[in-house]
Parts: sequence; structure tokens; C-alpha cells
Amino acid sequence: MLVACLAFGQQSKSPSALSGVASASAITPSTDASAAAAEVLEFEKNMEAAVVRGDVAYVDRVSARDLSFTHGDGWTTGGKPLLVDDRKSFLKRVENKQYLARDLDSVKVELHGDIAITYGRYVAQNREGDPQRSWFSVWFERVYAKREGHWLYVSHRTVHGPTYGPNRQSVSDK
Amino acid sequence: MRLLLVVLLLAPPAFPAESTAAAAEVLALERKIEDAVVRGDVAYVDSVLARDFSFVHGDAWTTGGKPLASDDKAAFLKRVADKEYLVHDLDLVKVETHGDIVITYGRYVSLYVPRSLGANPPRLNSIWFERVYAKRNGQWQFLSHRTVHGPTVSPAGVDPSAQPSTPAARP
Repeated sequence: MLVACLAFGQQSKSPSALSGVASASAITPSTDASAAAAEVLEFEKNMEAAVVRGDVAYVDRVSARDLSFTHGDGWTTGGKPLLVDDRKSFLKRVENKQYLARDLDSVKVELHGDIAITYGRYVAQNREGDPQRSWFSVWFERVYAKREGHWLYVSHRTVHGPTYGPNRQSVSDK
Repeated sequence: MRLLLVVLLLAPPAFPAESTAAAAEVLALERKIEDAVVRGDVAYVDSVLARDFSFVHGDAWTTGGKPLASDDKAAFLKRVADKEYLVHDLDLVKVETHGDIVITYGRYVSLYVPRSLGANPPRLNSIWFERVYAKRNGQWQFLSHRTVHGPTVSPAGVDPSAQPSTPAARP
């Protein structure tokens, strides 16, 4: 119960302060769930690869009609996000090959049948712009839905970041 | 066939009315859930939580850390049964609709009073969240809560870390 007191009675923001305080109760996935989670992670990786190579047709095919992509974590404290893309504006980014890299890491899956939530991070590089802010790190929560046997990309919301830097190394621990 | 084509061309491209209705339904449901949590209405909360419901406490996961705690449905219902929360007041909640999936985001002010609190006075906290709901068999179900910022001690319910929702006007 000490864990609970710390969780709900004290201010807690710093990840370092939290680490070791409590561990999440593990929910053991069934084999089916593991397979579905692996499928979603693979799907997400393929989608990011398509974004980088500018494969509009692929991203178009795997995006929900009402895809929403919320950039920037301002909304997590009641502020405005940096930007919100709908499907059309996101596909425009893909077409413009705006990103030179979008490398996923630390991604985990929360599965709810035909709906999957992923959370984790990607490290990305803009093709153009200020070289001092060329690389950036983004932590996110995403929602995917399985429709007619295929996963669709429904929503991205940045939960921390973007954090900018001049190179991959500078944002690799952000 | 030609008539069908004309009808399709004249139809509105999206379904804003349905989307608005879904948003209103889910916002109402979310309020009802929080009320039920506070009054310890396990039966109601049980009826609207998905079987594989998940509630992630604390925002450490947003930077790759471990959350403070993760409740499955049974663990969350136990909190409800134990009436651990005296206050769960929603505030600034917005909605992102995707047909039969609705995402809500915003905050609630919480007064957590577990039996283990002892002599420590409870304090109000702000919890900013992203939640996911899905309509299944005609009913909205609460699938997932993830805290995206907090908990933050918030005297009188005022979160010192909150941002204004609109930028200040410049002279």
C-alpha cells in the first residue's frame, strides 16, 4: 500500500524519482495476444519505414479515413498541441519525404481485441530546417484498429516531446 | 446505378452528426463512470469496463519509465469497492472520435483516501490522461486509461503545471 500512497498522494513527475518505487503489475498475455502484439509492432515498423521512403500509397492504405496525428505534448497539460494532422496533411508529409529517419524504440503494446494501443518512442530526423534541431525524439501513444482483417492506423498523440538536437546522439536519451 | 452515383456524390463526405453524438455519449459515460467510482458503485463500473480493461497510473511511462501502478479490471474494481476516491472531478476533457472508437483526453482532480493513508491528510491531485473507449454490441466500453501527466499535487484543484489552453494575447 506504500506504493499506492506514493502514487496518489504525492507529486510525482520525475521518471528517475519513480523508478524502483513501484513496478507495474504484469498482465501475462496469451499466445494469441502475443501474436497480435507482434503483428501490431511489425505493422507500426512497416508504416514508419513507408513514411521515410515517401510511400504514400502504402501509408494511405494502412491509415484510417479519420486518422489523427497530434504533434507535441502541450495537450498533456491542457495546452495546445504544436499541430494536428488529419489524414490528408499527414500524407502530404509522406509525399514530401519530410523525414530522413523515424526509428522506433522502446515500443510496447496494450491489446484490446481488435484495438491495439502502442506506446513508446521514435527518434527522427527532418530533411530540412535548422541543423541544430534536425533530430528529435518523440514519445507517443497510438491507437490501431483491426478492420476486415487488417490493422489501420487511427491515432497518434505525442505524450512527451519533441525534444530536438543536432544529431541522433543528442536526443537518444531524451 | 446512375441514381446511386448521384446520391453518393450528394452525400456529405463525413459523418459530423454521428461523430458529435458519439462524442457526447462518451463524455456523458465518462462522467457517469467517475461518479460511480466515487460512490463505490462496483456493479455500474463493472458493466462499462471492457473485460481486458487497463488503467495505468502515473506518467513515468511517457519517458520510458515504469508506471506507478497498472490496474486490470479486477484491481480497478477493488479500488471502487474500497471507495478509495472521495473526489474524481473531470475537467477540460476533449474528444477525438473515430467511428466506434473514441479517445478522450483531459484531466480530473482526485482526492485519494485509501485505508492505508493513516494519519496522513489526503491531498488533491491533478491527473491528465488519455483514454480509449470502444462501442461494442451497441454499448460504449471503457478500454484504457493512461496518465499522461501527473499525479501533481493541486491545492484547491489548481494544477501548477497546467498550461493555458490558449496562448496569451500579445500587445
